[in-house]
Amino acid sequence: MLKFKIPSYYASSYSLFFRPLIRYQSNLAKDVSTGNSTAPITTSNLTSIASAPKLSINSSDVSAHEDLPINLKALYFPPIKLPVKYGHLKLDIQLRSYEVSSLEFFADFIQRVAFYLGIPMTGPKPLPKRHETWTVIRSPFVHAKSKENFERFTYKRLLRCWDTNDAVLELLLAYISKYSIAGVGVKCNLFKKEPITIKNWDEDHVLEELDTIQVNLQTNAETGVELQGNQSNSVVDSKILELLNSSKIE
Amino acid sequence: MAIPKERLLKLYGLSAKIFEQNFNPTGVRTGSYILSKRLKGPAVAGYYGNPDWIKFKNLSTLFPDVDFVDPVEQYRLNKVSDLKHRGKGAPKKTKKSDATPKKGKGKN
Amino acid sequence: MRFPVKTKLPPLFNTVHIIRDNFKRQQFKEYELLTKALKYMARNTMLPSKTRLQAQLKLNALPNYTHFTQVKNRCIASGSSRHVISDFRLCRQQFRSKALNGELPGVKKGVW
Repeated sequence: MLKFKIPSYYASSYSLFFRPLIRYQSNLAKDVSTGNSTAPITTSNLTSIASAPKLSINSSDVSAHEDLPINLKALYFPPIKLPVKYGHLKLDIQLRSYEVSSLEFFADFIQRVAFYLGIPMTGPKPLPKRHETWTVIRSPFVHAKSKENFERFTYKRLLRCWDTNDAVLELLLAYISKYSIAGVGVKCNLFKKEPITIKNWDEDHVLEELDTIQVNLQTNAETGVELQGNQSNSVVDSKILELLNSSKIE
Repeated sequence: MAIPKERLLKLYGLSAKIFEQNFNPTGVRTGSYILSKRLKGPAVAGYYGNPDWIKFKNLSTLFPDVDFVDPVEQYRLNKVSDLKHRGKGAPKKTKKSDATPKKGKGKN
Repeated sequence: MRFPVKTKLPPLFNTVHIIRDNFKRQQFKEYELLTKALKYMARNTMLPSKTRLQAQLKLNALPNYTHFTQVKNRCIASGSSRHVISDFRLCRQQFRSKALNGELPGVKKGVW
C-alpha cells in the first residue's frame, strides 16, 4: 500500500528552523548537529535541549591549535569591542527570537563583524522578554473545565553602533542580512543628522508674519481660526479635495 | 501682564506654522483626528493570504512542457483504478425517476 | 458565488463563510479612502453645513459590505468564527492541534 505524507499547507509560511544548523562551538573537533524537533516542547525540558556551549577557553584547547591564524584563534575568545569615542549613536539593531541560543549566536556574530569593520558596538543588551499565553479548551465540544495552557517567549537583544560612516553601516547591514539566521528577526534604526531647515520660515520678515496672522478669539464655528495643521495623510487629503471639487459643492 | 494675549497667540500660531504643528486655541472641531489615523485596508484585506498563490493546478499552465505529478492526487487515482479493476468501484448513479417516493409529509 | 463585484478566492482552505467575509474585507479596502474622506467632511465644523450634510448622507448610503463592523475574523484552517486567536488566525481546536504538533514556531505547552 502506497503511503504519501500529506504536506502541511502551513509548512512554508511557518518555517520550522528552531535552531541554526551551524552553531558556535568552543572546540572545533566536536560536531554538535541539531535538527527540527517533532515532539512537543515543554518549558521543563527546554534547558536540556538548547544548552549553548560555553564561550570560555581551556588551556588544552589552545595548545592543540597553536598554529592557527589569528582570526580563527579569535573565535575561541569572546568578541572584541572597540571603544566608543564620540558617543554619536548611528545604528540600533534589535534582535528578536523565540529562543535564546540562536539569538545569542547571531548577536555574537554581529559583534565580530562590527569589530572587523572597525565599528564601536555596545554589546547585546537583553531587553525584557515578552511572555504570551493562550488558554484553550481541550475538547472540541463542551467540557470547559478542562483547559490547556500554551505560552511563547520572545527574547530580545539590543546592539548599538556608534561613531561610524553611513557607508560602513550599510556594509554591516548588508553582511548581516546576507548571513542571517532563520528564526531570528532583525529590526534596525538608522540615525542620521541633518542641518536645520525650517519650512515656511522667512528670517527677514518674521515680525511682519506675526502681524499678518489673523486670530479670532470667538468660538463661533463660522469665524474660523487660522489653524496650522501638521503633516497629515496626503492620500486622504487628495480624496477629500477631489470630493469637494466634484458635484458636492453648492 | 506686559504682553497682550492676542500677540502671544499670534506667536504661537507662527511657531506652529514653522514647526508644522497643530494650532487650535479655541478647540474648534475639525475632523483632524480622522486624518491622523493610519489606513488599515491592506492589512484587513490580506487576512486570508495572497489570492495569487501558486497551486499545483497552476503549474501546468506556467510550465506546459513539464509533466508534473501530484503524489497525493496520483495515489488517489491509483486507488480508484485498483478498486474499479477489482469490481469494488463506486456504484452507478440512480436516475430521479427510479428513486423511491419520500416518506412522511409530502405535497401529494 | 455571486457578489456585486467579482473577487478572487482565498488561496487556502475555503468555506462559504470565508468567501463571504473575504469579499467584505476586499470591499472595505476599496471604500476605505472614500469613507474616511466623507467622515472627515461630515465631522469638520469649519466646512459649510450643506457640504457636511451631503457628506453624511453619502456615508449612510454606502453599502453594508463596506463597513468594517461586518468583517469578522475567521479561522483560516477550519473557517469557524468562534474563539479565533488573532495572533495565529486559528480557532482554538486548530491552534491546539498545531501547537501540539510543533507547527507553530515558539509555542510550547505552558507547564508551571
